[in-house]
Amino acid sequence: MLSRVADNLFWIARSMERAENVARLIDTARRMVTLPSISGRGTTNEWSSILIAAGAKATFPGDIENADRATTLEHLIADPDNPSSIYTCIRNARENARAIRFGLTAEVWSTLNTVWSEFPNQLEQLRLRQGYLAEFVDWVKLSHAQYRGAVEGTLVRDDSIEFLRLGSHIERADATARILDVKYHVLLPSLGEIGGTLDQYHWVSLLQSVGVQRAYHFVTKSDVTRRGVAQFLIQTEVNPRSIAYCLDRIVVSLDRLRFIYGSESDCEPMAARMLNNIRNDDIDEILNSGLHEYLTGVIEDTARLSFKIAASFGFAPPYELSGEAEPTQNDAIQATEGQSQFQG
Amino acid sequence: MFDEMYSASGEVRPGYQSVADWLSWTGMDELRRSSSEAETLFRRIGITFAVYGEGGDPERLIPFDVIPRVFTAAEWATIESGVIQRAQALNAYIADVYSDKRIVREGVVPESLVTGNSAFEPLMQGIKPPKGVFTHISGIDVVRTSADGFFVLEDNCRTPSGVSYVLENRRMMSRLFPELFAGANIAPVDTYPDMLRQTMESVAPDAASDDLTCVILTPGHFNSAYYEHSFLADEMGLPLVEGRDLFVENNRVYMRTTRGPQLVDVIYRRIDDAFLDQRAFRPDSMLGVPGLMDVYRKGGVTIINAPGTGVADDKAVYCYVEDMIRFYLSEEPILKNVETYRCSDPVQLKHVLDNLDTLVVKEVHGSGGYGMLIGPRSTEAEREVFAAKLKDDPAAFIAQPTLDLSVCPTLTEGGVDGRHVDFRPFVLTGADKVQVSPGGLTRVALKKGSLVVNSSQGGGVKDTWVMTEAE
Repeated sequence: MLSRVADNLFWIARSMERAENVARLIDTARRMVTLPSISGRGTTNEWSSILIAAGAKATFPGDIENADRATTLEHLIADPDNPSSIYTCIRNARENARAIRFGLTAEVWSTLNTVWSEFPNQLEQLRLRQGYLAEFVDWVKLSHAQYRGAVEGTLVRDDSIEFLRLGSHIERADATARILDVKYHVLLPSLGEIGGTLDQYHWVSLLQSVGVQRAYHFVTKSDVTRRGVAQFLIQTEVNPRSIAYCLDRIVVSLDRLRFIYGSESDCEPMAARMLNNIRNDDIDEILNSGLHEYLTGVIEDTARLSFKIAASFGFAPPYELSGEAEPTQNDAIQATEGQSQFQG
Repeated sequence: MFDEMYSASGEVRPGYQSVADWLSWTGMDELRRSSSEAETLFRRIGITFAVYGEGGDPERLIPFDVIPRVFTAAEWATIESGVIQRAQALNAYIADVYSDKRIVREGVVPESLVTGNSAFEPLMQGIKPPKGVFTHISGIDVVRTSADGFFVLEDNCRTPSGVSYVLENRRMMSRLFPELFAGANIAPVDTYPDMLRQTMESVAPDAASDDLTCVILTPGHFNSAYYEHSFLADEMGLPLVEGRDLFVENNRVYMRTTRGPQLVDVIYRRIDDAFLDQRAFRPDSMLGVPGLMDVYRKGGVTIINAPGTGVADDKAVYCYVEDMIRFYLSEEPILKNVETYRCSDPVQLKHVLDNLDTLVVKEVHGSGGYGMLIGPRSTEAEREVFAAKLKDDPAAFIAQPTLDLSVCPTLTEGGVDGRHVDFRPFVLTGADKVQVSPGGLTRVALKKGSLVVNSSQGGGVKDTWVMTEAE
């Protein structure tokens, strides 16, 4: 397969996954603002929290600390200048698909094409009435599900599907870390508040927005606690949104590519090491030494892995392969990783 | 005005009986419904051509007319042999102008039209491409004015486009009106991708191994014909590459794949000469492959069509194609040229200036239906502007009588009505055969009375049937 085609596939999947996760972030804030706030307490603004978590610090036009509902939604949903807005994600997915029109099945293409053509309509609804937000979030999730369904149901099981899978799992690992980190930005709890009512509400709404609240109870058979949620989203491999699950899938895809190509790729050891680490990390240790710091590390490592995968299969632009071009800590946290837009 | 379906006395012409029957029992509503269904389907498949910088939808559909155009087996035999003969002569001409220039030395074609031609590519001098073929894919535009009046209007030897519509139009027709095809003896057009792939393989360079790799080179998905590039790649099962996917090493061309570099032997390029290789041509090209021409010169790769083929297809060279046929093939032209005045000749220029109101004046290097004057439809002021241009640079223009192009029944707002059409068959020249898939692209001027069929100016397309036997 042409390396450029692998690149396109990787970013179709990443863009669609990102659209969904930005929608889920928005949903987190939507749920959190409905919770009672503690008067006199320095509860930070939920909207600016999700902007930070979405990596929009550099792109948000205006004072991010005082972001309100309208400006946040505009930036995260419709802003063409935000490389991670839902608009940009859907457009990129569709453009990448158009660039490899026949590397996909007609069903995959037509799903992406339809989502793109429906977007203006959805946006109009959203601008017409505030109450449409939950509906809009559902539409984004449904669109992604439809695309995934078309991929799972129609795409040939060769190397191409593995590049799609790599793209979605890299993106989801990153997103889960970011969503979990929202809690850090929303409320810097004094020790007394941990485990308090509001604290617990926050954890519940976080689970709800990633759509695994029931799964949480079903799997852990316990109440919603900070430790429980952190473990469930980081380590619990039966949870399809957990970071460990995503890493496991990445390892499986790389394994499959080794089988198809008959040789190991450079990025395999790194992926295996990350999976192994996350499986063996002690959750209490993570929480004691700082969840935020831990998640920051995960986001950085994921960006490095993504870079390494691209380099291994020849689709990172060659001129960016030098060591200093690797994403630095600040890059990784402040901005989400984006696709280089080479348009000839 | 020649109506291709009905004779002057209202009788259905040979070949059109099944279309006439179908039209008589298919209601106008049904035709319109199918027409709008076709549009929806075409948009869903994404068969668009891009028009940027004009506002509006950048991805436009070429209007599709649901009433097919028909050629009888006998008519097709004439067109087929005529365009094959033409492609052979054009290939011989290009080979000649880049080597001995025998045709110039013997005084048939003036030197100025060869080395003085802006499409003449000095780098090609002395190069003999694999199997000696230069224009592997030639689009020969044919118009009709009477029952047996077929004329060549233009030759296209660079990268003629439109063949994807030939296949997609047929698929659309058989999807919308399966009953129309039952029992009709219509030659299939689906053989084209196979013929093209065989043609590509047949001209592989000597350096190629048995395990050939052929690719299609596209400028990318922002190009207006991108759909066609990806369509052909898919139909032939070949990789669709961009310049940045290819690189040169050790006198061979490679493409970057997820398994590492892979050798490339034959490149069907859909980008212009000037952008092919930034080392040999335009240094600012972002679309090309640096060093490609070097490899080509040394026989490490085949480029389809060869660079520099444009030297044979401008409107000034056109006047000489009949002579080329006599010169290289010692045959009489099967298809005639449209009578053409070369404005570079003072006598002919005077005739053109005196008759601007009846002639069509075209730029020698113009295309897309732009930059031309249609005398009978022009205003006094437009003619004055053109007269000034003609006197200023006569060699840049040719003129032709306004052709009374044939019309075909077409679905219009006011019902089924005749509209002017032209026709582009695609001639494939390989190592040991020259062939045409039965059919081609019929373009139709949708505006009543209009003679401009170009898609950029409101032209549409039709499915084109070649009947396999006489009715």
